[in-house]
Amino acid sequence: MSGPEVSKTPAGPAQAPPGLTAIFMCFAKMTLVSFGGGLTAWSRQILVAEKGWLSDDEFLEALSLSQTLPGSINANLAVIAGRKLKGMSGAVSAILGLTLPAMIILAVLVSLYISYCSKPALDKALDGVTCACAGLSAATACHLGRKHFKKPMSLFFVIAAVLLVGVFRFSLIPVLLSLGPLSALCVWLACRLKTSLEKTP
Amino acid sequence: MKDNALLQIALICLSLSLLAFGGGKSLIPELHKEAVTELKWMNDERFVDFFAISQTAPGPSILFVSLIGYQAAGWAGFIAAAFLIMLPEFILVYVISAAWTGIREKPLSQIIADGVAPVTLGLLLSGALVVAKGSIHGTGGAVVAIAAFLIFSLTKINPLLVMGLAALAGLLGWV
Repeated sequence: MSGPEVSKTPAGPAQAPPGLTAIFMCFAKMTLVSFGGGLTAWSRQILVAEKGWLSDDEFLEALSLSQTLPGSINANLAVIAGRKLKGMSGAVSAILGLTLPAMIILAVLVSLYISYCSKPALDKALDGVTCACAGLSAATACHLGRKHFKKPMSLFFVIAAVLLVGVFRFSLIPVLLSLGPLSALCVWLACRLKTSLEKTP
Repeated sequence: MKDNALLQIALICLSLSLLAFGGGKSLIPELHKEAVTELKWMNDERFVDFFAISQTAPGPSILFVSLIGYQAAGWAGFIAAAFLIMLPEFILVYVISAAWTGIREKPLSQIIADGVAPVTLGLLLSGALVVAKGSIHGTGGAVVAIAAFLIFSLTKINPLLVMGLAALAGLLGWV
């Protein structure tokens, strides 16, 4: 642990880059403390405050890029941070650190599940957990969407996606490739309209 | 048969890796369609059980695909799915982040991000719908789901605690 004071160091290669084992261990720790969620918050805590490997601004920039690109936000963040620290080998260490411990735990859980899923007690307990997971998924979507649900145009695309994918069960690829660009086009047109209105008095 | 399934899970992971806007959970509707409806690797109940297991484990939620890989093709499927869902994404993020410096401010990337966001939200809500359909079979289940929704929306209680209580409600036969 390098202590919290290093988070004050300015952006830039002020310190020697950490070794590959250190990068792996750092991301492995991040995964393991995130039992129950909050992985993104833990990433900031460990990368910025504890290790001082990224400044707050660098972390935010990496996070916004991670959210824009497809894929797991935390996996993207690991690749970006790992690359910044030590290039390709750093990125590989980071992603392996993030995923290998999680895969081992998943493998243990699924083995237990396969051995005991015929037992009524486990079956009943899992019935409760799956219902809670449905609530959790809806809550996550609503939390992320609170900004977007208020805008009529965004709301239209949210509803269109729910109807096409959730209700009528169309495949993801055609829906994403049609609604995505259409929605981006609408955002672009709205931006153009706004700037042209501002220019003409 | 198993080799065929391994190839299928590999193709599913490779083709979906770059479409997981907003994280792994936005793939739930498509994964359900493939694994349950079309390829019939598992029924609804096992799908939501696997989802619950992947939510309980730490790490990126996209690793859910490795459970589907396991069901389809055993441990080879487990490892192949995890590796192949990550690989295209790894390459894309690596290349773009190398060229990224300063692109963030440019309007194009902002427009893409703002444009994809509502579609992603629709996918996440569809995922919730798929899980709800597979898991809720009566009033008790609906009550647990709504209670969980409210707790996660209004408080910052650790999800594992809520999952534990839900498991207890299930054991007591309330669901």
